[in-house]
Amino acid sequence: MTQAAEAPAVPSKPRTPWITRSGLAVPLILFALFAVLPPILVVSGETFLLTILTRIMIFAIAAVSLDLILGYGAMVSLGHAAFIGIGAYVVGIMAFHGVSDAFLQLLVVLLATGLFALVTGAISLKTSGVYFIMITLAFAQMAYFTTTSLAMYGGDDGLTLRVRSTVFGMSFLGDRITLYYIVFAALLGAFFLCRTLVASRFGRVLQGCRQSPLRMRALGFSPYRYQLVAYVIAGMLAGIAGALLANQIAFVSPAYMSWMRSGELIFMVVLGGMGTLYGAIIGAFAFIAAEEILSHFTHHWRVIFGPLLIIAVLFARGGLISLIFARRGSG
Amino acid sequence: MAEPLLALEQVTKRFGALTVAESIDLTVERDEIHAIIGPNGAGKTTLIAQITGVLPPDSGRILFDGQNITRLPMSLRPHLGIARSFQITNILPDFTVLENVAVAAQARHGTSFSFFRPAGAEEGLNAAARRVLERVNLKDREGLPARNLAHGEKRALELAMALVQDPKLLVLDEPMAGTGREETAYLVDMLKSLKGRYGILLIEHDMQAVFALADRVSVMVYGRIIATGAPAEIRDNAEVRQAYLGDEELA
Repeated sequence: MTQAAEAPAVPSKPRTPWITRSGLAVPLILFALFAVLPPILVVSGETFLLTILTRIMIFAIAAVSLDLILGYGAMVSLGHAAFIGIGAYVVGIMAFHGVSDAFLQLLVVLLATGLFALVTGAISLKTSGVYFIMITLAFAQMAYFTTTSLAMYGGDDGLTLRVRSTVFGMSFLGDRITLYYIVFAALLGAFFLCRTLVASRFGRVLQGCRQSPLRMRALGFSPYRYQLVAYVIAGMLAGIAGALLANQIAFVSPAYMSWMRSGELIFMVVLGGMGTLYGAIIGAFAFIAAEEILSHFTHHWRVIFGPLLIIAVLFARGGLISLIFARRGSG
Repeated sequence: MAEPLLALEQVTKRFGALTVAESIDLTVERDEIHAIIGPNGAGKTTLIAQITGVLPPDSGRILFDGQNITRLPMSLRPHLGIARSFQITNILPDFTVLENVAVAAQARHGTSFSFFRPAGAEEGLNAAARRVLERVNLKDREGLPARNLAHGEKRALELAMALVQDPKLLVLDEPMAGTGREETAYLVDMLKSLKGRYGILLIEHDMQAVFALADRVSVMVYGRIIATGAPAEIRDNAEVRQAYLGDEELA
């Protein structure tokens, strides 16, 4: 006890520490785990887990971007996977034509997904509620069927990536650990970008429009413009996730942008906890981990997976993060 | 004589066969409280909707500060100096009290397409918000989520959100609705303190409050204004008594 007292430690009645007030405790623990896991997994020979973790982080980027518009902007987009697909196809098609430079690809990914988001968002956001859900779904299906008809790029069957993206002519994305850390860096970037955005004037207006669009209009804001900008930013971030996914699997397919994928993304966000950003990461982790584990045991894993998801949503209102905080509160 | 701050000219609005505003002429001067009273369904809230831009009139003109705003989009009107409160409290429940007022201030100060600087750390916005919160006696509530306020405090918060925008005209739709006796007294005092500094269009059912506050009172029945005058005149107007006030209430 005396030793503990000597430590530069916690006062007996601590004021709320910065880490709690900032809401960064959980995400920082998550990121620390992601950072230290690769060496441990390599040493213990579990490199297959590395692949799964990379996949989790890629979908976490897309889920975080969806949380920006869903959790903070109340825009229930059932077409978010379209941006993953477009990002992946840009990489696939550019590589097909021999353009593998990562920076050039990234630029085109951002332009393509940004433009698609701008056009579809400008139309979709004229509606709201169920109509918004249906119209985002319709646009995503259009993108899906467009890719299935690209006979030159494999159509239905998809397209094998000729070369992975290169940086200054060097190819190292084939290396699992390098790719892992690049995806990790992208996830960190996406998370902190969205976190900064929601705390800004822009983010404040976006959240105000979620709570009461009428109130915000009466204050002099036009919700449409703010929602559209958020929609474009989210689309571009999901596009980056798609570009990373193409590099991981070395294959692009229309399936990336199927409406089921979009539904899964919503599920990840809701499962983890909407409107927190890191909830989306936890949701992506739980969703993909459960999928992987169950599919190990049986071919009919979906029969178990479905009810599990329903139970999770029923008993963890507010998402899995609410379980963490409930336990902390009672303990 | 200076032009009125707000002028409605022959404003008419129909929902199908139902006329909710029939050739309404109405003015609000720069420093007066003009109250509109009338039974439920008389069209008072619809009139406010047209002044604030929620609904367009079918015909007629609405002039604000000499400018025709009849068809101006709702979100542009606050920038001219029109601020409002809602009949049913409309605040941002997840934001703190301070954030509610700061976001209102933000609408009038600088662009909101600012993406990287934390809005909560903008002392300009926070200071403006705190000044107004002090005026409506909510200073010690600033850190509370707005959803946790008592009903009367929420009404005061709505008022603070309007005041921080430094408006010329306040459009208040039943600010006393649902408040208890003490809260009503508190709100009446607050509105009294605003008198003379803003043009105020006040819709209110609480007759005591109306007669205590208003410079002019208009009586609206079935979409028409049947009388406009000083509170004392309205009180004595036979037609008004019959249509609305009820004789025994004033006996």
